[in-house]
Amino acid sequence: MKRLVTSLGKVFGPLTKLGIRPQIAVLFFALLFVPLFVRDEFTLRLLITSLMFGGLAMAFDFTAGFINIVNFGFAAFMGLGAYSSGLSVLKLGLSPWLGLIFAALLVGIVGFGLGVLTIRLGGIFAACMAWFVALALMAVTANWVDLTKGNSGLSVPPLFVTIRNMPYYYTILAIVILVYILLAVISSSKIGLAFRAIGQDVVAAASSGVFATKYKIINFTISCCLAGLLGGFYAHFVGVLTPQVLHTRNTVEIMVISYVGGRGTIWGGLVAALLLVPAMDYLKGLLELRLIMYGAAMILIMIFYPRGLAGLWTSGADYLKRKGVLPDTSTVSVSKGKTGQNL
Amino acid sequence: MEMLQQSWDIIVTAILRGGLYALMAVGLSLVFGVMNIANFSHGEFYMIGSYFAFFGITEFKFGPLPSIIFAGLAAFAIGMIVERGVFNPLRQKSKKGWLMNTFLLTLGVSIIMQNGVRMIWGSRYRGVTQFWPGRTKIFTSMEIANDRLVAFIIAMITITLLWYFLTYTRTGRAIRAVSQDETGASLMGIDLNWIHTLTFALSCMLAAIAGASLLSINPAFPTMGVNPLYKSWFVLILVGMGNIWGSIYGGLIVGLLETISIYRFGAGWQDVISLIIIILILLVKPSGLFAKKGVKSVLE
Amino acid sequence: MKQSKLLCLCLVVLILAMSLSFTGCGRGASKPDDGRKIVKIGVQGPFTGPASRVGDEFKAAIQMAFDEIGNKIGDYEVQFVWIDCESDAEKAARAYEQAIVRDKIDVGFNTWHSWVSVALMDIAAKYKMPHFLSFGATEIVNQKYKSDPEKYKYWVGKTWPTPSLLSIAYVEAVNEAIEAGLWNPPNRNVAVYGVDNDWGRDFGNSVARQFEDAGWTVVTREWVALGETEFYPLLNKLQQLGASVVVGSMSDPPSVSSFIKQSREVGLKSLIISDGLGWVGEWYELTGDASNYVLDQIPQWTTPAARKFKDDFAAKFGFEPGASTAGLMYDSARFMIKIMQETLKEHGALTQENFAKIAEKVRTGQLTFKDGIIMKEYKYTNDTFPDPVVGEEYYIFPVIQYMNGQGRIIWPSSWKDEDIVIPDFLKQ
Repeated sequence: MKRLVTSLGKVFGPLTKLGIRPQIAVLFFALLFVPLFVRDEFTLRLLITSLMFGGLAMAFDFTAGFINIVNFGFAAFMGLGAYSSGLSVLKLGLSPWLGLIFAALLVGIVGFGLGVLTIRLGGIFAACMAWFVALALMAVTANWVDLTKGNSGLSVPPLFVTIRNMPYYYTILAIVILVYILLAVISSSKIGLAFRAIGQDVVAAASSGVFATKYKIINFTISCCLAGLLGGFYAHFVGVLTPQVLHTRNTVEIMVISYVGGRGTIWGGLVAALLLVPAMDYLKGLLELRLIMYGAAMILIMIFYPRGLAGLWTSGADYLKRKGVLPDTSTVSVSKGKTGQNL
Repeated sequence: MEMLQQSWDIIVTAILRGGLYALMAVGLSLVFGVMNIANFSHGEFYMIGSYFAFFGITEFKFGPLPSIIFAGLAAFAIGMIVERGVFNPLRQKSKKGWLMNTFLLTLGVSIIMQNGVRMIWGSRYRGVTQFWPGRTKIFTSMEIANDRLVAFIIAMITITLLWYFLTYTRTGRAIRAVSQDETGASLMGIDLNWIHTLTFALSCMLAAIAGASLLSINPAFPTMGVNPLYKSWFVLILVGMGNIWGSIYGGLIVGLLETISIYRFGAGWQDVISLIIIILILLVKPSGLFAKKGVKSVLE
Repeated sequence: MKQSKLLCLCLVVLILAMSLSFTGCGRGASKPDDGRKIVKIGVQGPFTGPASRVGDEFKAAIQMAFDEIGNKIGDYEVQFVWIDCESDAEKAARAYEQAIVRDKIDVGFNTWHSWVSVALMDIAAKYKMPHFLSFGATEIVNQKYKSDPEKYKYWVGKTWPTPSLLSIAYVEAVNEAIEAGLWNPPNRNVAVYGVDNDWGRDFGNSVARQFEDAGWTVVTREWVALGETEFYPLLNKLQQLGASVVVGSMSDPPSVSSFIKQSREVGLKSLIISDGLGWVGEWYELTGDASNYVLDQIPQWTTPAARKFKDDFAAKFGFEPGASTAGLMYDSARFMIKIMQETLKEHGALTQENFAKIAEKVRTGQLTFKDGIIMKEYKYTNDTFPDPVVGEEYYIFPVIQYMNGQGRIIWPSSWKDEDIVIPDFLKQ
């Protein structure tokens, strides 16, 4: 066992240095082959949704867990991406693929603008401002009927001609892998260290020469950009958009996934999404009771296990190391995972 | 004359609209100031208040006023239970990441209450046609239902009583002391746990009174708390934390913004217009319009 | 510290285990081997979420309809798969695909929101799953169907026609009243209001167009947020515009009852048309006599069978059914039963393929339903599809005027209880 892990460590060594965690690399590797074994269209769709939420949760965690700003308007940025991708295809005649990129850029620009205006103040202020902007965006989407068709819903052309779920699955998997690599590499680089420093103590970080506002804006822009990209995917996958996509309800859903996964870890959100989304789906028959359990589980986790799934993994790995089952190689990334908890 | 009449109508409407927002926002502000909790379950206590007032009238045959008081007391009790069951355990365990953790806790509470109510009482609308029959005319071209006036007066009286309680009673002063300096307050022998529980329960009571006194306008149903919650957050952020009288102005400002934008731009755009103006105000004055020095502000 | 963590973990595991066993019981999904024949019908609806009230009425009405036939179609036992859309297109599509792939439903039935219909049409086309009788009513469904009728032919019929097909009745009712000399309005201005969602806008815009076609002037269109209960500013504006008719639709009871009550408070001097005021059974408890003189277009519990259904429903489920939700759903469910019986009679087995075959007959009007408690005949033709045939002998909502909690039919003239009553404050 020990030898196996050590040799695996050699393979993953370079990856780990980049900040990519071996367990996630293995997970992605496994996910690549899922469609070979799973012929069930519904399971694929469930995985697509889970991956989509996983991607969103990672992008959310990138601001919430690192620079300690909770983007409470996150779903609206995703929704903005969805609408701008859909509309660019419908009105400008772009191909859906260009639409995705257009959405990512546009939402990135909006995020940048908002960041410049609000983020220097930080904390709950930035959270509330993002939220207000989100509510305003939702109201605009509902009222600008000539453009968005408002609450009647906007039919959006799909990404693929085929109606099978498989191509969508590989698309979202590719997007999520990209998102993960991008976020993991950034967060383990020097910039990432700066993010953490800012998130933990703005005053100290500023006095130690880190130009806090600049980094925060960079971070916020990247996160919004990714939300836009995933929103674009949502649009072409589901095929119909309503202003409800921008609703705070969805922000809460993403936020819960990211927090249950573990703050400041990036990968926690992905794993949590892959567990929570199917679990919630499985419990659908319970109607309200399901949501009550969801609320109760949320409260219990927040009180008793605020570090989330990533924390569970870390303590598990620590335990195994103490027992000598695992070699003590990846201490660097583990300790990083821990510091991320200090909100 | 026409102009004058019109603006007067707008102002009366805005005041009536804003009174409720103020009452909700005061409770929110209290909990944020004392406990440092960004409460997102506040609207659910508004909903609970509405339900209890309904049962007070239809099941227990109380009059309107006793029903509203009954709703307030019931929400007070539920608020105590929630604080003891949810926030207190977390405070005993860890204060790390307190603001965010409690924020998620309140979301959990909100989900449980909304769906619990739906499970127990179903999703039918429970309302009464009116509390106090009749209408009143106050220098306007329109008549206003007595219910609405009384609801506004109840809101103002409640806020005044709260202000009196916080300023002139021992417990009230203890609450303010905790909001300014928790450690210092506990050194003075103030029982922090009790103060926190009391504050949360009081805040729930205020929300419930708002919900109960508007029962004839807004029938009780499980998701009714969402709108008042949002509006009271607008007020809270706009005026800044820790200023009870500020919440009244804030309520009126938000009420006025919405009324005018409905009037000028059409009903759908009120959220857009009022939010944009609030955002602009905040960009210039991030700590809020009436933030008090020395009290926890949004900046923290 | 450690102990409580362990405790929490145990709790979570316990909850999960409990819930798994719960749902495990609920999903005794696989077909039994004992030779019993089972047909699975997947019913879409908003069973949780913001529109769950409608979902409750749907479920109850469907159960009543199927209980009457002992839950049997021939020798088939009917099993329901309740597919919850949560008022969200993505979740609805996922749940629908799950029902098709996992629960192996044989046929689909019903929806509520139009956007859910649009999302599901693709899934139904993908699996060639015939899906009968959906409520999703607005124009967007028709557009999607017409974009590729061959592909979307599995989406069989709307229970509720496009709003414009029904709303014309208001214009006719008002114009007939004026021609008959019952009312002499001060001007031919109409103000349009409505809830800001697919339904409210679609209704408001189509009725506005119809009033314009009839020579009226639309002075304003106002959309209010779902759940809004403060209408003084809006009503003041309408008051000052001085339109003779104020027309619109709000789908949520708190809004509509507040609107009506407050319009009386500000003394609005207009004839109010409030489409959908009576959609929930408890509307009169909320509105009171402020609803007098208001026009609405809603089916009435006119026949003895309808009244019996209403009383049975209230006795069984403890709340008043709405004629246009539970009532219409009851008809729709019984039409569905007829479709299933017909399928069995003609093709001998209740399978997806056979349902798809029978869909052709429904679409072309060979298979219709005449025993409804709300409508005379539910029928589709090639010309109207996906809308039902609208007309006095087919599908029509009468225009009614409320008086002391009762709705009295004032249009069409052949059904009329009474002439429209114009209150004194509307007479000049």
